[in-house]
Amino acid sequence: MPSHIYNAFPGPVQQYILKAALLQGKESIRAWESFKTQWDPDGILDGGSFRLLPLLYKNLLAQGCTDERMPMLKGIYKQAWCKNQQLFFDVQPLLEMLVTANIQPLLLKGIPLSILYYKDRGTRPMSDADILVPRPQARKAIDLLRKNHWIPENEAYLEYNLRYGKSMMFHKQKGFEFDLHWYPFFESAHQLYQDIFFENSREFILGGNSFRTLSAGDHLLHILVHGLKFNPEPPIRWIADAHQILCEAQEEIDWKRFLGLCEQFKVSLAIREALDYLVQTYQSPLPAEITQGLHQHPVSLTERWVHNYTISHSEDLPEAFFPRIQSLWINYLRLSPHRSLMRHLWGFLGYLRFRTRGKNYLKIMTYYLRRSLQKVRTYAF
Amino acid sequence: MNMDFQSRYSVNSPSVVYETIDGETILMNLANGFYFSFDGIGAVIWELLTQHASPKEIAGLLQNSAADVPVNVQENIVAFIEQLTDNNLLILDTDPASVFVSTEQSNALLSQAGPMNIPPKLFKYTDMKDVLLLDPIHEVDKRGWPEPRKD
Repeated sequence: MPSHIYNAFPGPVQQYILKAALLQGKESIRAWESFKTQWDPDGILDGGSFRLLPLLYKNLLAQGCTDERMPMLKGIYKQAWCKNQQLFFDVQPLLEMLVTANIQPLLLKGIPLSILYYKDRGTRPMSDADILVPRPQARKAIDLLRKNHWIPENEAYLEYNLRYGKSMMFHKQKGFEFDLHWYPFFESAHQLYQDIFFENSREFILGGNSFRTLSAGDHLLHILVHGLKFNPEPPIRWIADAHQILCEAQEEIDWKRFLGLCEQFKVSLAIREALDYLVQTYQSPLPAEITQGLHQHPVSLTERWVHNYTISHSEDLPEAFFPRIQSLWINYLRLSPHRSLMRHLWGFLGYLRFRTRGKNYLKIMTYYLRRSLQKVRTYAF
Repeated sequence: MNMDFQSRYSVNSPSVVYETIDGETILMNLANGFYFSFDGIGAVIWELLTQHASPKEIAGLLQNSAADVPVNVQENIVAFIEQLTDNNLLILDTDPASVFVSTEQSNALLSQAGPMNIPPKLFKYTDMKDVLLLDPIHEVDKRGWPEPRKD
């Protein structure tokens, strides 16, 4: 798949599914009828659309739809329900193990979203769990997991990930896997922000036990920042997730904090585009002053560049030299809390130094300058 | 198992989870990963059992709600409960505080039960690893997942 694809927002057919799954009454049924004319069940449906079908089923059922394809949709719902139930069950001993070791886990994304906002165990299919631990306890959590036979993915990148990343995947028996996060998303991956999500967390009940998750506003922010990125599997589920949060918990969101975090993480542009789209297309309930507030946030050229790049490019590093440098620079800018160019450049050198396993600054600068000159010469002559 | 028509039951939670969708109840025993389903009268009996109704009370409710209830309905209910308990989906509830109170919800349930003269049937799937891997669009029959396509 080419890396330059803008797929964070749905295409026309995907939008029919979303409208059929999120809207009510005639609008939902009309969108379903339009989707049906475009959907050949013997063909291939993209993964992003497929993941919306359980929600589509439940919404069509609520509208009294008796279409001949309902048994198939019901089967998709039932399969998602079974997989989710097993995941809810499997994650609990893991959470209890972390709590027993005095590590406070926060659940992110699918599991708390299903329970708190979808209020249904089958409408949001998920393949893994996401657990956030405080950054200072990340190493302790990793050691504990290893001791209990959890296997980290890409262990060679552990130190790099702890310093400049946000998470690491672990797996064990039966195919159960989860992402251990120490920051929810790249833009928050700095020690300045290591406590803010925990301070504002909320309780939720899983299997009769009390656990914690992000507050509704922080969850919305996480979903939007995470969703508005290029992903090989169309990430359009952010639309359903955000719509569910807004429908269920819009009133409990601390909007002042939300707007402040958008500015702090330099994601106002992305969030503004996302919320405008949700309100205009799905009538998601959102106070008008929030989008107005976002439109008043100053958006720097850097923020615009980072947003335009990340929404259309894979996180994998390109092979070619200049695109690779650009990608590294953007990756660094996403996690840099600074705003001045000099501080970005200095931080970027440290970032490159870490990636190149401790070569000194002079060697790094010499290497990249030499490679750049070589490339320029190749293009020029 | 010591069972009589007056016994009351509870869902074997937390290892058993269930949901009723469009008249069909689906269940998973998470301790062994087995999946179960039943519909029609079975789904109604299950719902009443989860509300601590005894077999005798369930039979009474069914007989009062429809004309096509077979005379051996109480035996059918007990046989169904035996299947549920044998599969550890349901456990005997000896708590004296567990009582059944007929509500509007339970009466509405009875009106949607469908034919009463078909004995409840429990469908059981134990090979869940394979069943969960089935493509729920292309590899299933008209009834949808988890029924595999025959061809």
